[in-house]
Amino acid sequence: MTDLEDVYVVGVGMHPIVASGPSVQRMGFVAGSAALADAGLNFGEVDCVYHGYRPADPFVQGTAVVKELGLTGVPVTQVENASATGSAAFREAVLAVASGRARVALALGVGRQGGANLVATEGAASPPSVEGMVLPAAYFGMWAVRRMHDAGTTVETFAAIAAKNWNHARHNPFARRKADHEVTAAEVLASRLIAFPHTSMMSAATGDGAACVLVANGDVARRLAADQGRPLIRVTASQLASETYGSGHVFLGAVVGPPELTRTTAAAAYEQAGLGPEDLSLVHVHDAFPVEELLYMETLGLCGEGEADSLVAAGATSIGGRIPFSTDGGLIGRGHPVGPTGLAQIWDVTRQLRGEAGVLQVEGARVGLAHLMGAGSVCAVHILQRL
Amino acid sequence: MPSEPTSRVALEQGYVLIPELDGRGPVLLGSRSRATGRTFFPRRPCCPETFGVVDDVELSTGGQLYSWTYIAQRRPSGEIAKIGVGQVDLPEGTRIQAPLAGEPEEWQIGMAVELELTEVLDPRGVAFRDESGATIVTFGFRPLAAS
Repeated sequence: MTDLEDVYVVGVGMHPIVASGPSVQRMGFVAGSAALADAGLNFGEVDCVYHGYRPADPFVQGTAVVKELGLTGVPVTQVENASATGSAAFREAVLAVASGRARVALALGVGRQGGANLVATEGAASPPSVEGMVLPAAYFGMWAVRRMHDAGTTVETFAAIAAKNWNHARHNPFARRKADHEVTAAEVLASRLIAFPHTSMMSAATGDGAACVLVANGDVARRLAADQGRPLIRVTASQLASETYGSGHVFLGAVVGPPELTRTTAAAAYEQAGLGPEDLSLVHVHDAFPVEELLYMETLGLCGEGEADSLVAAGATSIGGRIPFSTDGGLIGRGHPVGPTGLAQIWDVTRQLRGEAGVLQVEGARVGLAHLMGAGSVCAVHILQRL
Repeated sequence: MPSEPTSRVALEQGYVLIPELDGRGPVLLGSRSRATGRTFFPRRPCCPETFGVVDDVELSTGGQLYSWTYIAQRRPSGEIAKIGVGQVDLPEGTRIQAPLAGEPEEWQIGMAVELELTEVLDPRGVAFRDESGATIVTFGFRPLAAS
């Protein structure tokens, strides 16, 4: 495994995550131009573009968004990797810079879900496929029920994690869910049941939005950092893996991946970065449902197996705690428009490492980790470090 | 659409045997790796570990409940239906995700469950049928004690 030499995040931008947004092109333009302004670059300085959009639409490819940003002849590649679509676009941008093919690479993710629901309420005209018989919400429900059985996790712990993410999102201007009051665990528990034991307020928020990250080599990044009086934010690890066969593997509808996949992908990322879990200042994970925060705390090596519950109860994953999770609200609070999600994580990590996160700031943040699963079958882990 | 379904048809071919069509069933159709002896569901084109040859195999018709949940589905009447889903470990080590019959109160991790054919329902709770009026079914499980 080779080190990532001299690859940096130099600009981040977002279009707010909302119930119903403007066109894909418009949201992509807003996020893209915000990231360019943040970096102090113009689109003519971008050497390649990776555009992530889901659901796939033959007429809304990266080229359609690039038409809004400028016609420069830049190579554009469409990227899709389920929930990890944005993470995959970011990784391609990182690798393009690391390989020397690009001085500046732009990763853009756009999502447009049109008010999709986790559970259908209308009559369907045709039956689902065999694969579609079990809804994604059910996989996470079964994961949570098994966790309750194995580790004694309570629904109150799930509710506390969700409430924390709602409350982080209150202070994120781009978040999908912005409560007008401090959300309590009791309120989360009292919301509508989706798939036992998960309620609607414990579930990832769908929505429309966009996020963009600019990645650059050392020469460009050092110039921009000096111009703007900012610290360098280095990408020290980029790992992407798909599932391997193991005990309890499910082929049909593997929306929730084996926890082992996160453990091995994170281990590879730690080795690449020359860092360990003890070095992390903040963490983003695929927390579509709160059981995932508990599982990933353990599989990312932040605590032992079965220990996450007591740490969460003591506030370890809140801002001000030992290892804050989802400092922008995560998939539950900030939202999960899919295409932008992995890039929204990088947006937050970058702002945290720069010290620009305002009331959500993690004091002295030096290292951030971003993790996403895609269809339970791929895992992306990135580590960013403030130099 | 006839009011009385004359028979049952599979949601998709190649997953489960149906008595009316196959003369016996329900039985899940899987694959066994010649190299490792491990079985997989649904059928694989090759062994996922060795990439070697697999043979068709019929899997056990019962197993142990590994986990369960239910989807809270609002019906047009306003009633909330609890749509059960289970993960079942077969004795040969294969895990299956499928609809789970019964009520949440009776589901216990580790309990014995058996394979059944379950109707495929739309969000209103109405069973899907094909053009001939046959009920569309797929594989599911039910608690053994409740059979």
